[in-house]
Order: sequence, then structure tokens, then C-alpha cells
Amino acid sequence: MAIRSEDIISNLRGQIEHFGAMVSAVDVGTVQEVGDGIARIYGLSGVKASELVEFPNGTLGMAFNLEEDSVGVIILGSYEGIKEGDQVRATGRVVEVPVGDALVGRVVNALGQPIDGKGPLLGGMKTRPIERVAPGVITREEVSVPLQTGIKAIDAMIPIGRGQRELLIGDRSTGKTAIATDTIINQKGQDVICIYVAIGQKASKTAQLVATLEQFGAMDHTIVVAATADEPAALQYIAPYAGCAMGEEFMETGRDALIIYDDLSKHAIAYREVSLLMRRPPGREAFPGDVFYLHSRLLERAARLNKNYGGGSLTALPLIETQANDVSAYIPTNVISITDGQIFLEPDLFYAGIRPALNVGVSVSRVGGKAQIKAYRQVAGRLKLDMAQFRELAAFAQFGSDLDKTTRASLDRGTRIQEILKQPQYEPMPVDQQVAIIYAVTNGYTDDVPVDRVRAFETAFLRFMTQSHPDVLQAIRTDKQITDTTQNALNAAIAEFKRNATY
Amino acid sequence: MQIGSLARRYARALFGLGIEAGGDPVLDRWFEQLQRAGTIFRETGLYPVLENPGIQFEQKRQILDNALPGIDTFVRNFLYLIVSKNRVRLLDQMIAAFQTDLYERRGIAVVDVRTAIPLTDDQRQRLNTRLGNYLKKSIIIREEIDPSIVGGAVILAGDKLIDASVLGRLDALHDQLLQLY
Repeated sequence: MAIRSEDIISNLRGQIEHFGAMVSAVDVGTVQEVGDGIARIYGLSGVKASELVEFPNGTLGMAFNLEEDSVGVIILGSYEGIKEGDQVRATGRVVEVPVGDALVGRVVNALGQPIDGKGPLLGGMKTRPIERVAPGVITREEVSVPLQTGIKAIDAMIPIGRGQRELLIGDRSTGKTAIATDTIINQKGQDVICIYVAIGQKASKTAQLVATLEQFGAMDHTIVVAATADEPAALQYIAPYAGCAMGEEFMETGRDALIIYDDLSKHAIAYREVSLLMRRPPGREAFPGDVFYLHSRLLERAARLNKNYGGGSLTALPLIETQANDVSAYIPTNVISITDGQIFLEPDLFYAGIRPALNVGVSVSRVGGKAQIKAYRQVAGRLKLDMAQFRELAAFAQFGSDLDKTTRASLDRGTRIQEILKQPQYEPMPVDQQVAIIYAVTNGYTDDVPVDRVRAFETAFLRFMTQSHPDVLQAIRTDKQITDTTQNALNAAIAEFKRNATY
Repeated sequence: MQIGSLARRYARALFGLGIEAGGDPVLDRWFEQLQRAGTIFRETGLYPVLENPGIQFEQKRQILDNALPGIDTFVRNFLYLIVSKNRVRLLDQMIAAFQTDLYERRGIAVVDVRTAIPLTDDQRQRLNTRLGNYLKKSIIIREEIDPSIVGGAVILAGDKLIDASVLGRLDALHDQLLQLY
């Protein structure tokens, strides 16, 4: 909707005519020293913790340390242009960001200002403070609605529900961001608003991700909050809370939202930088003492609200980068103890060709089957069992023909399941197709397919199902379970496919 | 002047003694003596001497006695103390802190008023009354002329700022208009 210049002019005239400046007393202070993204202010005696303060050149800061003589302020922006002796005003507000539908499809910075060059945010802007107390026990509801990632390995064995917090943890380049991207792409048409918060990432990587999301039409339901590596540590510190405030707006208006924090390791490092500059005492690995609280208060705000409070939900997918698979390091253990489960990605699996490189044995979803539609539960129960047996026997795989029949069968089944669970990037699969193919594998219909043809079988079979038997898939989608009729239809369809089709 | 917590504590200690020693007349006298000491130290270049670790404390005591005859015992002891603790550089801050406590005790507030053109007597009187009612204290106005604010006044009372200048209103209008588009 274009804004006409006549409208602008008359609007401005009205503003000027009716401008009633309220003259009131504000708290002020003087900059004693400034540098490294922080400033020490003398004065500001009435300022409150985390209050927003304003420098003469318009830059904002947050009161971080309240000390006897001075206030330590972290600068939410560039600290050039601020000099000693500048007068600083307290604003009486805590840090807040714009929230609402106007943000969907936009790329903004940690303060909610657009950085995608598509103009200002449109519409009356509502704002929310970035810090908030998490929903209490009474307002919550049990997680029971699935959040489909579109990734078979996850939706089948480590299912995620709306309102859950599931950690994606692994070394660098193991596919954490790839899983997050596919999940966002899969939310098209699912009525879930996605928020991707980039903390300390390369700007090029974030730009590429936005381009990918646009390519798959995913930006229509996504907000990207970017505090890339070149941004001051203060902005990297508040970015996740800003994204969470945006998500809470949807949650508290009865809608579902998904928020991805990529990644919280860099968030902890940014917080450590700011805390050390503020001379807060360092603890383990030089992190400040409240680094647990940093993440716990963020992740506790993801919840599912009960009907009395709108019934909305905010699902959180935090990402943590480990060094050399060390999940017992400080920050990883902190976040593992906060989330409702974790998905481990391992470089060994990645390089062995198993992508997504999920270690299913060690990965956990504490919500589990409650977050799956009944149809999926019906087929996936066998899956986890088969995979567990397979892993136990995997060491014997080298002995080839020296094994008894049951072991041989378990190994054969396991390798085929493993093949099915592999998935290319940017191809999230709808849940009805997932159920169909996993049904086929766990009921032995692929046992006679050579292992290296299983993926081809899958592609051809699903194409066959969508073209020739879309009603079966529709039935799974509508009933959300595999009724006896559907089961018979599936068996018949599979038999027909195996008879005629080539793969 | 920025008053550090260290200077504040020293000054308050002396202030407390002054209250017990006789109240307002004593405090006024001590304040005048402290100011005198500060001026003398500054103008005769005594600071580096008093800070010099090579000179014995006894000699410094002599210097102080010679420079400041006839001051009260407690003020003399105070000066000895800050010299011996090597805090003599903070004397100006301590004097400012002492004055702050004095004003506090007397319910006086010092207010900086910046205007574009000098205040008329009538304006000064009215400002005094209104500020007095607002702050519930008697007011000492320090005036400053600053043509860049165009008109109105910028009033600073301690940490509280009241920007009633034309420049301030123009800035606020500027911000508000920018927010629209």
C-alpha cells in the first residue's frame, strides 16, 4: 500500500500543530569513560537495573551494573561518536522491541530495526520488553500437538511437540543449521510463525540462509533477527531475548510459533565478553556466575499455554556447538539440563554418509510419543526397537556370512532403515509420506530390495503413492491414524508398486 | 565536580564530628578553613610536596602548621590524616562533598540554569519560587548563558534534568516525526 505524499504532509502538519511537549524531569549522568562497547557513567542515581539510557547522538544503552559511584552501561550500537563528558539521559523504559505481524517476512537487527532494505515496519507498532518472567505453572498445558520438522529421523524417533524445547547439539558443520532450515521450510502451511535468531554468525551465512528461505517461499512465515559477528557483543547478548519477545506476542494471541537460536554457544561468549568488561567476577571457563540463568530464563519462556490463555505455543530449538564432541563441557551441560531433550549430531556419522548425522541412540525427546499423531506412533514404535537392536549388532557386520539367521535379519533390516532415514537437504517430507515409507520398511516390504537401491525405491514409491493412491495418503492425513481400511489399502498399494514399478 | 566515594567518606567523617562539636557555626568555620587550605595548596604548589614519599611525615606536619596557622584542631588533624594516608589530592573533592552535606543539612539545592539570554529579576524570582516548591528546598541558582538553546531554559538539579528549551522541543519534535515514517 503506497503512502501518498499528500497524506504524509497533512499528517505531519497535524503532528506539528498539536505537538504538546511534556516537560518533565529526567535522570541524567555524565560519561566518565567509554570504549570496548561499554561506558561508565557518573550520576544517573535514579536509574534502575536494565533500564534503557540514551546518549546524545541517539545511541541507546542498557544499565548493566549499578555501582556506588557510577553506572556501567552496555552500548546497544556503535560506541564511536560517544565521548567523555557527554550527557546521558535515562528513558524510564526497559529495552523493548517491536512485535506483531508487521515483522513477518522481514530481517531485523536485535533492536527490531529492519536491515533488509525493504523500508520501515508498517502498521501501528506494538512493543514488548525483551525481558519477561516465564509463564507460570497454572497457565501452561501439556505438550501434545506435533511440530513436524519434515525430517524422518527426527519426526519418527525424536519427535518434537509444540511448546517443547529441543536442543540441537553437535560439532561445527554437522548439520545443525541445516535441520533448523528444513524445519522452517516445512512449516509452510502449518500455521506456525518461525523466528530465526542468528547470534554471532557470519553475515554471509545469514544472508545465504535468508536467500534459501526466500527460494523455498519460507520467508512468508518467518522473521529473521540478526546479530551477526560484526555487531557489538551487547547486541548479540540481547538478540535472543528480542526474538523471544516477538515469539511471545504470537503465543499469547493464541497462535503457534517456533524460535531457533543459532547459536547459544556464541550467545554465552558474547555475555562473557560484556560481563568481563564490566568487571563481573569470572567463574568456570571465565564465564560469569549467572550464565546458567542467562539461558534458563530465555528457554523457560517457550511454553504451551492452556485454553484459558489462548492456547498458543512457542517451541524453542536452541543450537549449541560442541568442541570435539565434548557434551560434558560447561555450556553444553547447562543447556542440556534446561531443555526437554537433545538431538546429537556427530561428525563421524556425517562423514560416513549418514545425513542428517543424528545419533539416534543418544538423542532424546522427553515429550516423545505424545507429540506424534497416532499413525506415526503405530509405525515408529517398531522403528526405534529395530534400530536399537541393529546398533547392538553393528559390530558384527564385518563378519558377513558367519552369522545366524536372526542376527542377519536384524542387520539387514537395520541397514535398510538407516538408508530410509537419510534425507537430502531442503527436502522436508510431509508426515503422511513419512508414515507410508516407514510403514513399508518396518513391515518388511523392503527386505528384498538391495541396500543401494533403497533410496531409489523410496523416491519411486512415494511418487507412485502421490500419483496413483493419493486417497490413502489423504486418509492418513485426515484420520491421523492407520485404520484397518487404510492398512489394507497400504498393503495393496505396496504390493502393486513392487509388482510393476522399477527403481 | 565528580565526587568519588572515598572523598565522600572522609568528608562525612569530618562533618559528623562538626555536628557533635557544635553544629552550624562550627561547620561553617570548618568549611571556610578547608577552602582556605585547598586554595593555599593549589596556589603555592604544595600538592607535590605533600605527596612526596621522600619527605618525612614530621616535615610535612611542619609545613602544614606553617601554611595554616590558627585552624581548628579537628581540621588540622583531618589534614594530617589525609596527608599521611596519601589522599591529599582528593582534597578538592572532599571540600565539594563537605559542601554537599552542608547544603543537605540546610535544605539548599544548587540548580544550574542555562538560558539563551540573561534572566530578568522577575524571572529569577519566579524560577526560585517554583523550583523551591518542586524540590522542597531553598534554591541557589547558578546561571549560564548558552545561545544555542535558542530560547527557554535547561535546568539541572543534581541528577535531574528539566529540558524546557526551544532546542529541546525541536529535538523531540524531530524524533517524533521520524518515528512516523
